[in-house]
Amino acid sequence: MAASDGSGMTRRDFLRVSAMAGGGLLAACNFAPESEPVQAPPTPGPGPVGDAWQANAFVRIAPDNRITIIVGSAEIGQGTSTVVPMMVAEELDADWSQVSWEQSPTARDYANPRNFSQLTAGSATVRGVYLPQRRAGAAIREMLVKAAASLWGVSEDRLRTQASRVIDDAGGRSASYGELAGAAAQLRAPRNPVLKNPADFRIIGQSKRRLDGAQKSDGSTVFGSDLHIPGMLIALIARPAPSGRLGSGADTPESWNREAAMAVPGVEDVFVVDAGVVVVAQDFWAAKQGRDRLAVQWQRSSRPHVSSDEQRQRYTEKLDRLGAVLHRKGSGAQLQRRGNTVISADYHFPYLAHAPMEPLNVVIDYAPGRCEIWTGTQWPDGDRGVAARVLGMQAAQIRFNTLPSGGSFGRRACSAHDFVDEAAQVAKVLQKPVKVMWTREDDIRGGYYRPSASSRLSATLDSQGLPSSWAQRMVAQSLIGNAVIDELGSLAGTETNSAQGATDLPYAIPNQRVDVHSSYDPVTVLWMRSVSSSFNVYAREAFLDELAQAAGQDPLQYRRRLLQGTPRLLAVLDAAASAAGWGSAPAGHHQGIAVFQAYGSCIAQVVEASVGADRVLKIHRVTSAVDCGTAINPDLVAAQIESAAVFALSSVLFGEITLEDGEPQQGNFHDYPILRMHQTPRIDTVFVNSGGEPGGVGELGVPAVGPALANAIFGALGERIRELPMKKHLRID
Amino acid sequence: MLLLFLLLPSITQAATLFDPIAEVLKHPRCMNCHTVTDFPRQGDERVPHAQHVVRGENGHGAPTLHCAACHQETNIDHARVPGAPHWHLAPLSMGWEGLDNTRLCQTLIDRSRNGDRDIAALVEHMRADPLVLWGWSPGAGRTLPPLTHPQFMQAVDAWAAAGGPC
Repeated sequence: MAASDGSGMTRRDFLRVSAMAGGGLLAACNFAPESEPVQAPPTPGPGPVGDAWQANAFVRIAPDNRITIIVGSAEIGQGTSTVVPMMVAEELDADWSQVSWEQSPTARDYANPRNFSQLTAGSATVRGVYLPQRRAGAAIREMLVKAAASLWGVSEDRLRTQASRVIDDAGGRSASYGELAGAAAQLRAPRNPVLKNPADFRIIGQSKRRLDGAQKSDGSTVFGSDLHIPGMLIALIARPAPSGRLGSGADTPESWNREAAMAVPGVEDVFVVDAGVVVVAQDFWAAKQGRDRLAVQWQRSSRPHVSSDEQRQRYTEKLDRLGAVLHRKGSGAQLQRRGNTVISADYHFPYLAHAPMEPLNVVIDYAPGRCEIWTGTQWPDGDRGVAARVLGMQAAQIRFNTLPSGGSFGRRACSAHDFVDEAAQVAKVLQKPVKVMWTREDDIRGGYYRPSASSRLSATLDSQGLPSSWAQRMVAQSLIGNAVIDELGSLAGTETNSAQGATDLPYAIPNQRVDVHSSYDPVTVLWMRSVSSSFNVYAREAFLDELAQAAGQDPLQYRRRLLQGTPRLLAVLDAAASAAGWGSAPAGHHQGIAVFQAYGSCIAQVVEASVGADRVLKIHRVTSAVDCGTAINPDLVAAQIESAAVFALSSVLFGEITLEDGEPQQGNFHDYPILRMHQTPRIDTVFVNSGGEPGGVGELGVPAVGPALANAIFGALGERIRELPMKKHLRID
Repeated sequence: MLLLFLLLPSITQAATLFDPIAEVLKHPRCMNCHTVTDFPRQGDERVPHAQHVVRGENGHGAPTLHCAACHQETNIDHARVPGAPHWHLAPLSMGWEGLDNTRLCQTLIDRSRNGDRDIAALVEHMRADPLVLWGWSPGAGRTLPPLTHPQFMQAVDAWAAAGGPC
């Protein structure tokens, strides 16, 4: 890992600038670790393939004063295409109306300094590039000023910049960045550009309109689903059940009806790869009809195929035994064994599918020695590495294009890179341009689920009714997919897949213990928006309300007492309660509250709901108070929180993948519903930002919505919802 | 009391004659489109129709989302979209939700509410209307009413022969 100056920058030159052919300026930054070889020397113009330096521009200033910011992270709807340019444009003093964005190529220099990969995940984009991008903008601005000073023969001190111009007030003249770019490109980049005082921000902190909004509105944005390249065929794959898709232990096709599939007009070929049986056709419909006729019989591996009912029983039994202790403080366990009254509750969570609106798809054009791939992904460099391995190529030989994704929620950041892996398998056999498409059913039945989990919480209360001890025991599948590694990791205290939202308890409770059973179930699992917090925080925040009830205290005041030592959480708690009108809901409406902190940010959320005749649940309002340090673009942060509310409500109300003998029982939005417009409550978001560096917000708004709703339902019905989804207990029309 | 005693067999007989018909009419395949709401329902759980589909002015949906935008003249099973000719919601006057068997029967034969059909026309409607017949071939793994269509028509004929008693 590179030595850092504390800003996430390495000691190497972080900025290289060159003149563009035909004028203008091209600047490239280095966020890559120092241990990597320095890139080839700069030459203007776009590079051919791979990691050639010139491909790695971050900023282009054209002679006509248009500024293009090349964004290294993926646009999955979260707005990275707008917030990253805003950081650069701020320090550059750019004319925002002349700023546009481009998706970067796949190359090392675009790695996020937080994860050393071009991985858009973990609410890390803004946190990772905030300072580096600002430094790049500031450095280029200084070079443009220097170029103008030299041109006019004046001191830099008397020049200022505004709206993509360098201005000499005393001399009554100005020049555009476009005019100065060529001269600036000849200068040395400053090592330590001066960053603005946040008080002087003109762009950061403003709700600028999305740079990708117009194209998405008029339909001109090209998603993977839209992409068609000349001569492209369509492939669909018949895959085994999620229980049978695990590498060496995968189920294999025993028999299939090739003739029946080939008889469908338009079907060109049927062949077998590791991923399953592939049907290649001229168009999607032919491929689908061909696949429908395959009637594949699978030879099962020795792995047991999971059934949800059996798994639930097994998990429940494990709750009675001590797992690997991840977190200990004081003597929580002893306190609960000393004859004190222990309050305890079990919570159960099903498998969930990410169910992005755009199902997975990969376009791949491969011939020996040459390969280009286009796909909506959160992890292009990782995907490219897997494709290279499958195709026996060097990663740098593959041109990998990241397209915008129609939703993702973690599915397109697959640690197995499954969708690109199998597309490469298809291309290796076919050696023609092909799009591997997933139907909605493929997507929802395709595994890589948010793990199912069971959790037991127990606590004792002191004479004030506050928790004197707190224990949480989880049973959940490891995301690593290897129980042995996971158990070892747990013992070493490093297993974090199940820990987030449990071991980082924000409440002042003197005695705590968290232990985990990492279950090994042969089902492909993966992180999903907010990872284990999506179930741990539900259990934690719902259980805290149970303690408040046992203590006869108001859930808001109870939390306030326990959060005195965490001022940021206390501030969002009070702000959410105030914005939601805590305690003064309309007649028949009930409120619940919950908090969550992660990614350098804090949130409190109040859900207002009612339960009518026939146990029909109606959610009226979700109010969120957010402290994300600095909001680069408040409207985009609010959009993230609003989308998280919809995502979370979809999950807790309806989300459930049940497995029967390994087969998912759901397959489309009729049996795996997501929240519909008429079910969507009013959503309000208020900010109580504490300043300083921006925190992550992509996942922040998910975990607390469910428990806040459960707490509101308790107010309405006097019932605790301890098993999700809620549709099992209530009607949601 | 005496009158009631004398009437009891006929009341019982009427109920007996209409009961099997009611069990069919109350099945989700029929009831989901004979609602008293401004929207149809779906599935055996009878949830409000997805896409927030509404009744519209004449039961054919909103101007921006007609039933016929998705529902064709036949079932499209690969898309799980059911279909039959003139697919639409029954008028509110023919809404059956929440009615007991007697009220259901009365609503059915009330000419001011049933499209001005006499008993014979009702029988013919239940025998041959393609939208009614769809209930027995709903496609895509949907459950069927408790009687087959021939059994249902036997019950309807018996009830009609008795003058359509409620």
